[in-house]
Amino acid sequence: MFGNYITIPHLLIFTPLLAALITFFIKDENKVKNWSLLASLATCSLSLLAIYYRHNEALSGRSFNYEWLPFLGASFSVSLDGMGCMLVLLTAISFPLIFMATRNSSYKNAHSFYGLMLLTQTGLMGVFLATDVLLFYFFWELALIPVYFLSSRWGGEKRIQATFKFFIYTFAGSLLMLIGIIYVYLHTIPTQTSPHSFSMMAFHSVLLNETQQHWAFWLFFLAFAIKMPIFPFHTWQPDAYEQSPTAVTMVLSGVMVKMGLFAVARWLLPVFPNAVMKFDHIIIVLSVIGIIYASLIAIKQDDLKRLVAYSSIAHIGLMCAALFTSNQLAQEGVMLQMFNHGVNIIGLWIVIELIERQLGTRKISELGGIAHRAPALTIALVVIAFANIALPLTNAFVGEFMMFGGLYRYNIYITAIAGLSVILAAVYTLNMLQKVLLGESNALTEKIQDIQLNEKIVLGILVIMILAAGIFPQPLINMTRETVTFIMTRYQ
Amino acid sequence: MTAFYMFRLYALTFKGKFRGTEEQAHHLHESPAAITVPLIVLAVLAALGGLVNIPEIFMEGGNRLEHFLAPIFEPSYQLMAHHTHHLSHSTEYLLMGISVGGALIAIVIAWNTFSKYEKTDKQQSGLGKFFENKWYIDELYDRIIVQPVLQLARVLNNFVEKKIIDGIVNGVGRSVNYGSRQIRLLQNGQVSLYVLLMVIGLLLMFIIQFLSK
Repeated sequence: MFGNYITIPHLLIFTPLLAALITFFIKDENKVKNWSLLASLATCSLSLLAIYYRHNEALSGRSFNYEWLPFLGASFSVSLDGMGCMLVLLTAISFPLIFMATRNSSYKNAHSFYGLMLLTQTGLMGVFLATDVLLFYFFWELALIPVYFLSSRWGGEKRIQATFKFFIYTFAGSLLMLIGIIYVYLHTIPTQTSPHSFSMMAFHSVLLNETQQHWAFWLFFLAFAIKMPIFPFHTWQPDAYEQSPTAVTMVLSGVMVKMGLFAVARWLLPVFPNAVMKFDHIIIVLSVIGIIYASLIAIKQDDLKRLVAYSSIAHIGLMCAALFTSNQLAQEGVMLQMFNHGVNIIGLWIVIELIERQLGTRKISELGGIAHRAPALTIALVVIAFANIALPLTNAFVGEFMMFGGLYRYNIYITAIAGLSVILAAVYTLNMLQKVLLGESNALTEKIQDIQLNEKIVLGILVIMILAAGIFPQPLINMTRETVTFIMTRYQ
Repeated sequence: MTAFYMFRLYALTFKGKFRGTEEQAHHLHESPAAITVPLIVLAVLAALGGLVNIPEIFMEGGNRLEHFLAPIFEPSYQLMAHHTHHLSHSTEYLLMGISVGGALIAIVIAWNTFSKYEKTDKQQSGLGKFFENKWYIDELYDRIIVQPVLQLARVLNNFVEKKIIDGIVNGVGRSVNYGSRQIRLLQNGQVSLYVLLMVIGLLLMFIIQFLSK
């Protein structure tokens, strides 16, 4: 049965789904927490298996598809490639870390909260595994819906407004993509059962003339640009990050924004090469404007969550620019950085959550002198913050170096401007470190206590991952190289 | 100049009256061995290190370090081959004499000025003030880089981000709301209005049909 009817990608989707359904029926809060942690750990070990067996024809799901809607030419086809593997790993690692770090936070109706979280994981897994466009779209929306409920029920004061904006904004983008999908679908070649097909192969071999490609390109790109987000489509993000409960913010920024980058690499670059060659300048310039713009705004933020949100927009902007350079080095850098950015930003959110839970504030101006009271928390924050600046020895250094290297071959001036973001990142990150950790403690920060064992473990794992990927990133680069090489073949 | 500022440093720190508070005076003590031992080693090396390379004019073959790093500079020697020139021994003595004499004079001036130094509130003026503020380099940076960047960040955050970009995004939502509120007024439940609008619509359709022929 295993390997014939059910493969690892199927298990990766159905394990969290099943776990989520069971979670809804557990009443006791502690049991819910234990169960969801256990389920996410199971998914995590599955993802390690997935990496081990990713070249195995039978187990990696490449060899067959379930028919889903045969009259439409849609199938339930999932499989693992290099980039998919890495993002599946990121998704699988981040959930147990999030569950462990937020164990001491208490949520009303815990069973719904954790159930919806696991449903989100299902959607994310599906997005990274689907090799059928309709299935991809289905999971793309499936990942969005639980987040809507999570943020609007457990979020901050202005949660309804912020979540509504987030949902409508991204949903509008998704609908544009759906129109694009239908348009391209209607130009695919017939299969045995249907006149057209939604499969990845069909999309890669679709025949569109230049004008058609251009229109379809923008329909897809707008959806992904909103999701990433790219300047000027980013304003939903700081609001949503600020108002969502921090566990959800971690999912949103750690994993979900990678959906945008992933989708560009999987569904945009290989499908519309002509349009990409024509519009890459516009997109790279927009991205670079966004990098500087968001970095400058981050300097002026007083709320820790908003600061990290703008910092993230800047980092994602660099990844998007590098993705569109059609350069092997830059794209390998993007792949690496997608993983690293997820690790770093989840670390930052965890520290913010720990500070906010104890002191009830995220305002930089109200904090200070935490270093004396909470040394372990301080060490973790300093390492993670250094990774956020992309200092050498941290994971982000390698990725950013590769991306700048690739961007340099595209255009020197644009690289110089984008390079300013490294300095600006140091400005806002070090400024934040100084004001939060150093200086005199005040009446509020006197009370802070150092972190507990489970939090130490989580932050310790993250710090190890940051240093390990900073010192020896080669395995991650090797894993995703096949995807990049495939994309590059479309540009020769 | 180095002699001057080093002896100023020495005189101000270790000579003259103690200028700190009573509290600080109480805490003064000799450093522990962990600090003094490395200091002694460094001091001995600093004092004797010069003997490793004695200029040729004092001792034949004393210049043992002169060619120590030669292999590293080989390429630059080749590039500079046309520009090298050797100093005569008399010039060398002259240079040594001037620099040692200058240093001794600077030491005497520094010692006299600062060993009996009392703290005053007298503001430095002229060149002294200019140097006291490190050539105003920090102020220059602050004025031409730091302040403009912060200013730009403030404008982007308060105006461009909140008013323009988010204004457009929220404006789209608001105008849809507004539009539907206005259109709702048409549905007022009065049959006579509906009939009137229907007749107007029919007339318009006829006119369009008529004109398009």
